[in-house]
Amino acid sequence: MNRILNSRFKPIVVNNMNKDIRKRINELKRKEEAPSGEVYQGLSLQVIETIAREFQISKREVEIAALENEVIPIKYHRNIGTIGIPGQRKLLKAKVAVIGAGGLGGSVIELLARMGVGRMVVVDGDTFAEDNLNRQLLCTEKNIRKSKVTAAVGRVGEINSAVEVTSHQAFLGAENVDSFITGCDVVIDALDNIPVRLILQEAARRLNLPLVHGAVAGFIGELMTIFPGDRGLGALFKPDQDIPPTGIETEIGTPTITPTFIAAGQVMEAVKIILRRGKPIRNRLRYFEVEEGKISEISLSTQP
Amino acid sequence: MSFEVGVNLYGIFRKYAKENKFKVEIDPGTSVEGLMRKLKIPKMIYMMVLVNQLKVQFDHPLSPGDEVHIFQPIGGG
Repeated sequence: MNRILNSRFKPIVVNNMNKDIRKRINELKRKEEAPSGEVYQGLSLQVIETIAREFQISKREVEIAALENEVIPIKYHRNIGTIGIPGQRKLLKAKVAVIGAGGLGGSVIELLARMGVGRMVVVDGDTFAEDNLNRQLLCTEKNIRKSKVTAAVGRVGEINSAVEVTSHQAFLGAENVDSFITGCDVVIDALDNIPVRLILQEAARRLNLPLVHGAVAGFIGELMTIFPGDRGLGALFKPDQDIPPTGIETEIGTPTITPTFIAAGQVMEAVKIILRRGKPIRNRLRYFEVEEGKISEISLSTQP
Repeated sequence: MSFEVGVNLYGIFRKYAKENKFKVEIDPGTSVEGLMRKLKIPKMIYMMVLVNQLKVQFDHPLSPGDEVHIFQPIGGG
C-alpha cells in the first residue's frame, strides 16, 4: 500500500516542486541583450546558485530546468546560436568519460566544461611532473607532483561549477575499466600508450559505447571515432603481433599545439555524438600534419 | 609482367617523393620492403604500412592495384 501511495504521490510532489522551480526561475530571470541586438531571458551564475540552494538541487538541474523554460543560463548564451536550447540541454544531461588528464585530457576537460557537458568522469593515476608544463593545460608550476585528477576537478569547478565531475585517481586497466565508463554516453581516449588504448576500445565495444580516439606526436596528430561495431584501432594493431607500447612521440616529444588541436577535434566528435548531428569520423584515421596544415584521411578496413 | 600500385606517404615519409600520392611500377613478387627499397624509404622502428586498408608486415607481397599507405604510428596523449 505504501508503495502504491508513494508511486501515486511522489510524482505530484515532484511536479509541484518543478512548478515552484519554474516559478522561481521566472521571477529571477532577467532580460539580456546579445551583441546582435536580440533580447533573451537569461539566468546569472548567482541566481543559478540561489535557486539550487533554495530547492536543494544541483546547479546542473537548475540549468536544465531553465533551458526547458526557454531561459538561458547567460554563461551558455554564445553556445545557443550554434547548438540551440535543446542542444545545450542535451549536453547538460550527458555524461562523458575522459581517460587520461594529460596533454589531450587537460584540453578535452577544459572544452567539455565550457561546452556545458553536464557530467564528466576523469580517470588518471598520475601526478604532474615539470616536463608536463610545456603542454598539459592542467599543469602549473604550483601543482608539480600533485594529482592530475585533483587539478581537473579544481579547474572544472572554476570554469563551470554546474558540471558534476567524478574523479578516479587510478591507471586504467582491464580490471577497472568497466567501473569507470559504464553509464557514460561517450568515452574519450586521452591515453598516452597503445596497449591500454586497446583495453579501452575492447571495453567500450563490450559496453556498447562510442569511443573517440586521439593521439599525438610532434606536430602530428590523429583522430578517429570508434563505434562498438567498428574495427577501429584493431585495423592498425593486431593482438597477435607485437604491439609497440608507444609511437614516435618518445623520440620527438609533444609540443602543446598538437594536443590542443586534436583535443578540440575529440570534443567536436563527442558533441556530434551527443547531439546526433554531423557525421562522426568512423573507419578512417584522420591524420593531422599541423605544421603544414595538412589533413588527410586513411581509410581503415571494416572487415572483421 | 610488371604492374602498378598506388603509394600514399604521410608525415616524415613525404620527403621521399615529389608527390604524396602517386603510382609506381613494380615487378611481380615485390614485397612492401622491396617497394620501400625502390623508393629509397628507410625501414624505421616507428612505421606503419597499410595495404588496401589493412596493416601488413614488410614481407607482404604486393598485387596489381594495391594501395599502400606509409605513416608513423603515434601514441602520445
